[in-house]
Amino acid sequence: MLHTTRRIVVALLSVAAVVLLLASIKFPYWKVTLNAPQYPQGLHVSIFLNKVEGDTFEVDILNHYIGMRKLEEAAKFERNIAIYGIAFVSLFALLFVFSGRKTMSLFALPALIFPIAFIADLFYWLYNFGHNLDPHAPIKFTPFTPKLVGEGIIGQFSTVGTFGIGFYLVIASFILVLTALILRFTVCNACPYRERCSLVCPHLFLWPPREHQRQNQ
Amino acid sequence: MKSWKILSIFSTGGLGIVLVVSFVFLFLFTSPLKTSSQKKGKSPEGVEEIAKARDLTPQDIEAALKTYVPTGKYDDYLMFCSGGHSGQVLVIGLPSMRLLKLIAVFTPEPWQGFGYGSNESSDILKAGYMPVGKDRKLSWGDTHHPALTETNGDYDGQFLFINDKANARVAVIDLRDFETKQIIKTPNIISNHGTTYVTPNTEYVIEGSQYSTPLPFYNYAPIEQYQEKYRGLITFHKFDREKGRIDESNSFQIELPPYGQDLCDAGKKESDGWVFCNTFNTEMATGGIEQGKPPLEAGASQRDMDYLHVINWKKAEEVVKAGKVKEISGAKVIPLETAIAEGILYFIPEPKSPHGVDVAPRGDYIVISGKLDTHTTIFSFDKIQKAIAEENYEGKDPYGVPILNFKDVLVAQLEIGLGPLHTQFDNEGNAYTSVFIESTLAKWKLGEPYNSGDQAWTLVEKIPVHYNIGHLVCAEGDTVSPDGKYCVALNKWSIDRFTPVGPLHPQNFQLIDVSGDKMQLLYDMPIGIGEPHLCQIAKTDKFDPWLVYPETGFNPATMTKNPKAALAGKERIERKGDTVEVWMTAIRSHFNPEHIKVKEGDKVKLNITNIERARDATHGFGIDGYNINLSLEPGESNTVEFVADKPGVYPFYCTEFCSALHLEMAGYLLVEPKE
Repeated sequence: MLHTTRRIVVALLSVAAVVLLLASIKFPYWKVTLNAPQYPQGLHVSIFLNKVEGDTFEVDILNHYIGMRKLEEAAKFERNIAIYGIAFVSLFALLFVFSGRKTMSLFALPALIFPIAFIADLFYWLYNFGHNLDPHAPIKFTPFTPKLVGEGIIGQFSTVGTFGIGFYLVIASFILVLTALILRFTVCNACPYRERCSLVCPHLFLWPPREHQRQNQ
Repeated sequence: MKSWKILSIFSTGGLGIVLVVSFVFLFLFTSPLKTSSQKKGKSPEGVEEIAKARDLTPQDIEAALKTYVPTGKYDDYLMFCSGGHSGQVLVIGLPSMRLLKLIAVFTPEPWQGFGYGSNESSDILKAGYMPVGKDRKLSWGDTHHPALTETNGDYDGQFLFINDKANARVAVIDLRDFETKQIIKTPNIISNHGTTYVTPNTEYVIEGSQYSTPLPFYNYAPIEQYQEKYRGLITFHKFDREKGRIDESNSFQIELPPYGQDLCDAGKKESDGWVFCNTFNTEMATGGIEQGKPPLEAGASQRDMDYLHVINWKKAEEVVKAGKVKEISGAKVIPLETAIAEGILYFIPEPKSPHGVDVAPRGDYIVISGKLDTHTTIFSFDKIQKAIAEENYEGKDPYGVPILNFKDVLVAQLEIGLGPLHTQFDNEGNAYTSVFIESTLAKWKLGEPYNSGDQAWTLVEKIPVHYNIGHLVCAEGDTVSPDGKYCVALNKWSIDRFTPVGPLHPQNFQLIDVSGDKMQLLYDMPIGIGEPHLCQIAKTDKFDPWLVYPETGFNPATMTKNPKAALAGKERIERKGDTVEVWMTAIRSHFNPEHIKVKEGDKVKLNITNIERARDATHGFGIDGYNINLSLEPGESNTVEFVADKPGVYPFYCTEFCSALHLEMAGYLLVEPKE
């Protein structure tokens, strides 16, 4: 079996995953809407991979009453390295195509871990912000964790957390890379040269070995 | 055969199917029908019961339905009304007749922080003190006639002008923030009435003087020299739309005989370039009741005719450019002789003591209503032009002004009723005239080309109003494209129309639906401040006001960001000698700084910025005991300067209920006594 089609599909899936990853930078990963009577349009904050946008000024004014820090102060490090991080994940997702059978899981790993790491980090910051309230704040609040997804109640506000297009793009890239990985297993397990694999596939995966071609002729 | 077939459906299984289907039908349709018919039966009962309990007639209910604007919904029109001697302007929504705003203009107003410490507002008020440079403080005005800026004779929703009759002043209101930006004390005169009217592209704001005086008014001349020394004056204030200000250096005035000039209107479309003004005292009576002379009211009403002034302002503009002017107290004035010689000024006899002069939408007719005449008199602009071109004069007045022949320029005289005053128009060729003595509003038809044949110049209908209607206003009714729909009767007296609230009665604005064949009175709105005179009604989509100031640190007086404004993170207190300057920010729910420590006698300068960006998050800033209060709307920056001449401890606080911790939004001005 040549699996030519599968080889091409694996490559296309990886490229598509990278495109989605890069595109996700332009879209919010997570959004929170605060609804209260005096905000008929609601207050909207969008968390991008590398920035925070929306009604942050107003949300900060409100948050100061319960002693919550400014949104700008959350995940500063993560936001600063975000673009490099995406570049790193994308590069690995591309190298994955050419990697050897034993290392291919390793190269696929960053793209598979990325969405999980994002959620974990977001949850960490929600927890951190909700549990490190200024003790001198005008309104004393029991520490809490704002809801990641779904509706929560904080004072007169109902907060609704939802994932944004950016995050769904990352999930899509996760699925693509996972599919590519499974496909590669099927191809590589059938490969007669699978024992010769090291870090890199000896025939760079996309070009099946000549012997194979001859055999099939 | 056929009948057998039908029967066969009933026999065999057919009958069963028919029964099932009809049951389904019954189930599906009758039950909702039943409930909806129950609802239908119930809801009129509810309305009827409410109507019965509140003693409402079907007409009342119709009026309520036409005026009610449901909670949270907006009105279709904005009406800008003079606030009379309150010195303010009212903004009212139509058809709900809800008061939306009072704009402080000539009178200090604490809620808007107008004239209570902020340099920005005080400088505007001070510019209107009088006479110019003599610093007599004026803290009221008598606003009469608002004028929205126009482009091609239609409202453009950018600015509003308003006059002060009592001191001959004109103010400019910017409709981006609905605040007063400029007050001009008009040179040479101390009384106006035919003010403010604009030319079709707002090139000029027109101000006609009313009670004649020497020029300038502070040059004394005995009343016995009225005919020789006293004069009327019409001022053309140049409006600089770019700057949003009147440009006095390009304004000019025209000297007029002392005839008691009254209301004016600018020509439009075919009559663009001309202005028409009434007069009521061509007798040049001065009263003197105490000396046994006839009182002014009688003296000024002896002749059957007064003179409509026909003024060519485009010609006047050229004459000013050519330098044929004299300077009186810094203003360029075209002398009366020059105005006559250059063909700027003509008179037309008009029925005595007229009130309104109103130009029809196409600019072709000039409608005059004299309070002491039962007619409305209509002149043709074409005929006026022809008479001027042919120099067809019936004579000249004592000052040499050519007088056109009344009959030559007359188109029609329409018997309207007792005391017609003012006229506005709709989009179907109808005119509406307020009839003061009768307390009615009259609807009549204009002639060709608005209406032809039998219809032309006919009275259609009159509707009683309550009471003593002065002006009336119809939707965009003085523009080149009136809307019809609504007129409002601006009644001087309300007598028994409202729950009594003491001897000083509110005025009464009555909303009238003019969209149907019959006019219908819809609503009475009491006006409990001042005595409004004229209003203008414009569609709300003509306006695009700011919801917050566009930048943080915005100076509403200059309509630009103040580079020295206090900003977040830059708050500080600096002392230089005996001057203490403070840069303070306001945000929910604190001022920063909160302690201002000064020594008795120190000069204190505050720069305060509301750094909020949320709609409606306005903060006030009041200092107890120092007569200071600011209104800082989101983004707004104000400056305050005062001498801390009273030692002691003075709290300052946010005077707007801005937030839950509003009471805590406060600080201290600590004035340490001198040793």
